[in-house]
Amino acid sequence: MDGILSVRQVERRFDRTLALQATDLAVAENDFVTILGPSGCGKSTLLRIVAGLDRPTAGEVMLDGKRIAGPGADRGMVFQSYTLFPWLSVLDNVCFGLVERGLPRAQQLDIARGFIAKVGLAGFEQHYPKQLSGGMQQRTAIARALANDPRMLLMDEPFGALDHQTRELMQELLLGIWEEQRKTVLFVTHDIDEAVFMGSRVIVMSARPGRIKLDREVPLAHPRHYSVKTTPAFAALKAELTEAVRVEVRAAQAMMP
Amino acid sequence: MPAVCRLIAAVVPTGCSDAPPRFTLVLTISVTVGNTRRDLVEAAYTLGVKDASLIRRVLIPGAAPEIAETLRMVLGWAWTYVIVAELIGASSGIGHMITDSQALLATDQIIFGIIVIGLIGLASDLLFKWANARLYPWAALGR
Repeated sequence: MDGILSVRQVERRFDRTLALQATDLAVAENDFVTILGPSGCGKSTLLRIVAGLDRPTAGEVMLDGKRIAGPGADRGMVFQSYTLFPWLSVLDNVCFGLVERGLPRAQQLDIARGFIAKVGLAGFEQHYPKQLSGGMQQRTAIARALANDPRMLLMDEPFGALDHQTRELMQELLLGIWEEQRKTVLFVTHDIDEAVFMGSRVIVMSARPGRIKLDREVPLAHPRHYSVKTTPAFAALKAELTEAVRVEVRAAQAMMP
Repeated sequence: MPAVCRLIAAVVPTGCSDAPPRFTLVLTISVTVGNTRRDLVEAAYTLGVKDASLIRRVLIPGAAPEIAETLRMVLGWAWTYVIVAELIGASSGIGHMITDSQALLATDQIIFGIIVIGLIGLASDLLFKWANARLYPWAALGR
């Protein structure tokens, strides 16, 4: 199946360490692919290669049949560290990509306000990042990436630095937006619950050198209410993934000096 | 008044006599800009920023508060150069007054001169600090 994203035999070596083994991955339109794996397994490396922020030492990545050569607005990204521009307000942050594209200001504001409202930050447009909590900053970062209408949304453990309750609310928020907008998403996480709750497909990567070990469809219908987390289907998939990830975490720890 | 003019001349590049502060300034500024948070630069790229815009829209605004603080420091150094220059060769001004006072053993005038220099330096530094905090409220300067 030829989806919109095609990762072909992508390998990444750092000096003599092989971080990512030759990996193949096909992502279809509107997939929400979550990627699990122990620390150091190469999942962030893979995401960064797709984002164009890193170059593979072998293989290639194709988006809509065209080779990826560097970062771009077609692959919007949300990072774990809050990457809002501190000198810009929430509104100006969200408009950032739109300004670059040269859209008329009125249109920029319209689009930006729409996404700011979608992430539940209406009324905070004039706030500066330092005045926002972590959750609010990540919501702004998500609005900023989405406002730019990317072909794909790449997320690198975006909720990792948030407390548990905020994280759950953010998951529901993001899922709601995805259910409405049906973007194509690649989402890296440590959290198995998060991976199953949000994904339409879950991938497990092995310990270094990373390779895709498991690739499962998530058999849960949309729209997903948070109560789905206590259903048998959820539990079954979670159990399988927990085992698979555990083995790899042990392997990764065994490698440490 | 001549002292103030000399101070401005020391900060604004005009001749080889002010080469030391100017060179350090250029070096410090390039290091500051180079230190821009890498994740901000990456975020900008994923939002579609082009290389030319990156400098104007991310690198410079990101480095601006630190550059302003650097300028404040350089002001301090420049002030030192001014004092030294005055003490060595001025024919008017506070430094001259101090050396004159030394010759005439007018100790109270010497002390007065030193205090005035110190106060002017302190005042300009505090003014600069205040201005930087007003211009860049988003950067926690002078914590």
